[in-house]
Amino acid sequence: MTWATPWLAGVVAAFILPLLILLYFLKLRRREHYIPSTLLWRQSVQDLQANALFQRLRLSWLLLLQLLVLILILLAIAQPEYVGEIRRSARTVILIDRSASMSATDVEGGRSRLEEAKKQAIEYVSGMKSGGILGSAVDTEEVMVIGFGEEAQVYTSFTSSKAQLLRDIERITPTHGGTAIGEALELARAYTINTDPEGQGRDVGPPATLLLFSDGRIRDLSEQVARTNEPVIYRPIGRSEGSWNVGIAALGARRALDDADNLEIYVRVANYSTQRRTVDVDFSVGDVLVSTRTLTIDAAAPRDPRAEGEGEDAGDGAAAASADADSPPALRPGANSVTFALTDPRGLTVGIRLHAEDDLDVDNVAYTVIPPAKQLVVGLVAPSDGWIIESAMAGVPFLQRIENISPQHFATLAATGETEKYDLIIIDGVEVAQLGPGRYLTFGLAPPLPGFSLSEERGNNVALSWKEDHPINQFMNYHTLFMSPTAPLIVPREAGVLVEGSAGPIVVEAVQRGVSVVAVQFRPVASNWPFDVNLIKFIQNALDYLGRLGEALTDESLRPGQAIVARLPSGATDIRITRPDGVAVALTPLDPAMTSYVADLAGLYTFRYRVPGSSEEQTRAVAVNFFDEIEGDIAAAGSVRFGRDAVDTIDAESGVRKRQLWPWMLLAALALLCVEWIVYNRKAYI
Amino acid sequence: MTQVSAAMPVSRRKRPQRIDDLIDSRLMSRLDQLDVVSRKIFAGKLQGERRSKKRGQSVEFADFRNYVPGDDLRYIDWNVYARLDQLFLKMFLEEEDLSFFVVIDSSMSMDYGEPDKLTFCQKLAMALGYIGLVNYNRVTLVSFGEGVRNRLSNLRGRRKTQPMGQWILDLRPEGTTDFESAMKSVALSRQGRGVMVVLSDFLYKSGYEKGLRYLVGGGFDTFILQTLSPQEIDPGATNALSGDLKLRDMEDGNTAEVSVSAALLKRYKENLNAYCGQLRDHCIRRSMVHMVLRTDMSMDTLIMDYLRKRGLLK
Repeated sequence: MTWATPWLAGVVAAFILPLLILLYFLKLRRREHYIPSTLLWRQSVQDLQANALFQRLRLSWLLLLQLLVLILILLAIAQPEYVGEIRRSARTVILIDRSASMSATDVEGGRSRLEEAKKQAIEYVSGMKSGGILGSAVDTEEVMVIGFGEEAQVYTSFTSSKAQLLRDIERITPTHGGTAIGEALELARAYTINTDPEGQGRDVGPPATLLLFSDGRIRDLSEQVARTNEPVIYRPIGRSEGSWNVGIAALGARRALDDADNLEIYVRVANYSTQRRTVDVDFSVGDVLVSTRTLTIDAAAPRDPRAEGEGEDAGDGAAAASADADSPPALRPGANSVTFALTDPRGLTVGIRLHAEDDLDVDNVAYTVIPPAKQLVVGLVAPSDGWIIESAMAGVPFLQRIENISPQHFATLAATGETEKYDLIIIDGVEVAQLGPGRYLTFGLAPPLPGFSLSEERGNNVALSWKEDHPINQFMNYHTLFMSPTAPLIVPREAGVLVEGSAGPIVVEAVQRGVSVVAVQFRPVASNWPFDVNLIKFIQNALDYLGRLGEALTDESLRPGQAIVARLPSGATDIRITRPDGVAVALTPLDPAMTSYVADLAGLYTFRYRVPGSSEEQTRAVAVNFFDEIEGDIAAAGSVRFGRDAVDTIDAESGVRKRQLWPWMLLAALALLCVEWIVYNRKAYI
Repeated sequence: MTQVSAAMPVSRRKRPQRIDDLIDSRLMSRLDQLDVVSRKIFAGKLQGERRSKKRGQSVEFADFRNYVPGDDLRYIDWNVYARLDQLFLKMFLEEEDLSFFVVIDSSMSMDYGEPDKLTFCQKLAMALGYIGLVNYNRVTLVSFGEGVRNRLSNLRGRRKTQPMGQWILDLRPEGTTDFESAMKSVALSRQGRGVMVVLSDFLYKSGYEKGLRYLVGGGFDTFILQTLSPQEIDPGATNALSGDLKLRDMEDGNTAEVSVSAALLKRYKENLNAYCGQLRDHCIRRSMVHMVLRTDMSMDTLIMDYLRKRGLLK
């Protein structure tokens, strides 16, 4: 047995015990009672008579009981912990945390936490009782293995085969994602609770012990509820005295608004340790190191409890993990940032590397993929008088080129899905059968999408109101618009009306089946717009809005555990993805034009595919970055709680079980107090 | 003598006010049939049996005996001499009145119990005294504490019932007990022969032995009536004592701190029995009669039955 706070109990005992004895003597202000003679009583109470301290103490059961009660309470204050071997149960679910923080190498021998967890799990499995030839089936232990990070995965369902278990435990690989235990618990319970309609809710077989190998940095601990009859044992892995880690917390890149060639790369570095750190930050483009800066980052400081409400997601798990006295207090990591500048209009892959001696490597590298400064390619499907629109586009600065597409060619493009290669296709009064995926601006026709049609009757339409805050309507004035009688548009309910006219919508926006379209009821040539500056403003707004729709300054940065979804040209073959660890995985498209891959590691993923008719391999890079404050703060939690329920903890180093005994001490004290009460009453009413 | 505590209790108990409170007329009529028994008087009443100089004074014939020279010629039965020609002496019973002493302890300790010991002793003394008066015994009442406090001597005849009753009613529990000096002065003052009844609890810290020694002999049959209240005899059963107590002696203020428990009560009862047993042995060896009376005994039963069986009354 060990004691968590023996000194506290000692201090309290030094005050309380003498006080009780003193109080005991003070307490006995005996009731005075007159009797005819003390002659016989004196004889009778010779040894009860309490002038001598020890005589009084010897027979005072009450004092004895009170002292016992007090001693039990003092023992409870000292927080005794029963240390013993893990109680093995017939069924055990081993839950192994394989999140990013488990990659920290703070275990003896420079091994990672996951390796240590696996080693301990293997030791546990090795100690499994097998029924043997003479043993009964009841003696046989069964173990199930679940690995969990952001998601949980069953590696082995209940089995008594050591060989299989050892093989499957070895199979567990680290991820660079966060940690959520909820799914793992659900999985474990699915295997331990009967799902038969007849025996629903009841346990299947003997109750299973959940053996959790983790560093306790688990985001959703506070949402969990401990079940009765489901012993959970937490086996902390890793060092709990502060985290020795510096990591990249954010990486952003943007092109200057006025000059798209100028790039600014912003890096934020967090320090989770309690020491001020100075690190070198490498900035590279592709594989070429461009610049190195030295950055000093303040030490982590205790969180301001008033600010705890902010950033709930980050604070929640950390607070749950550190709710226990064993855990270090929640710290707000120190942070500093650095900005790199570059002039390059091309698409780039930027890498940032920290040169920091710390326990977690995964957050020392981050990437971002910056697309080239965008110059629009616009397709124009128009009759011969379509030059009006073409000339209206003449002054647009971000236009690369305009391609005239014949209606026949457009039909081909739409059928093959190649319409997407244009940033925007403008259709001016040409009836088309279908629209391929892409973005369109149509004039004087009902887009061939469900719900769109033209009314039979033609008539005048005057703009009444428009959404002034919509980018399309920026600086526009539709009051000056006059058009020849035109058939009004009939639009589906979900379409957004941007300009409302007296006889129906004049400009509407719709997004359907990968097609974004802004439809205008009239053709410019059938209106006064060719003579009005509003046409130029409208065309420019539409190009800016539709052409750059969904465009981000950088490609979306993903987190580990998220799926990389890539849109592929139709007919793409030989699709592969190269993981950050260099492993290439062949992918099959989910859909002719789409594929996905769940990225469990942080780093740069590269898609490769071939397009028919082109011998060149197409590549596309996707950055997956580890920006996670909970995982970055790698101090292992000494103990964990499921919601409000404490989980039994096993000491990480000795590998033995620690069980809190103070509740039992308090119970015993309570029972003794009852006995004391009975004794007191017996004495009082004899 | 132990120094008396300043905070000595004063009895607030309601004491008997009238003679009727001590003895009711129904009991009184039954007491008329009783008399006090003196073994000593019967044994030594036959005049001349020991050829003592003391002659029988009464006219009640008892027996004849042979004349021996020196006998009083007046008691020779001349008629017998005429018929038998032998000298016989007539013997007569001596007409001696009985001294009946009732000695009452009126110390503070007697004011204890339910019913309290003093009231019980007052009632008993009244009954015994009345029996003595109606039988023309010479009744003397003595109350004692630190010494003899009060004395009412030589009452005889039913007419003295009233003053005797008043004297008994005037008794008040107070002070301490010095049994030895009290008995010494009682013994010195008694005359003649008779019966002496001592009513007390006999719980004297200085001991009863020396005091009782004065009462031995002197021509008196001594009855030691040890009066104890039920609360003293069995404090556990009567719930008289419970919890942690500081027991204070009513007389000398001495204290004993006790935590009342079953074991303690058991030991107390053993001690009390042993104490009473010692007193009884002490009395038997000195030809005294010892009786323990509970204050909750009915006076009827006590007098009409118990005391008759024990030979105090007939």
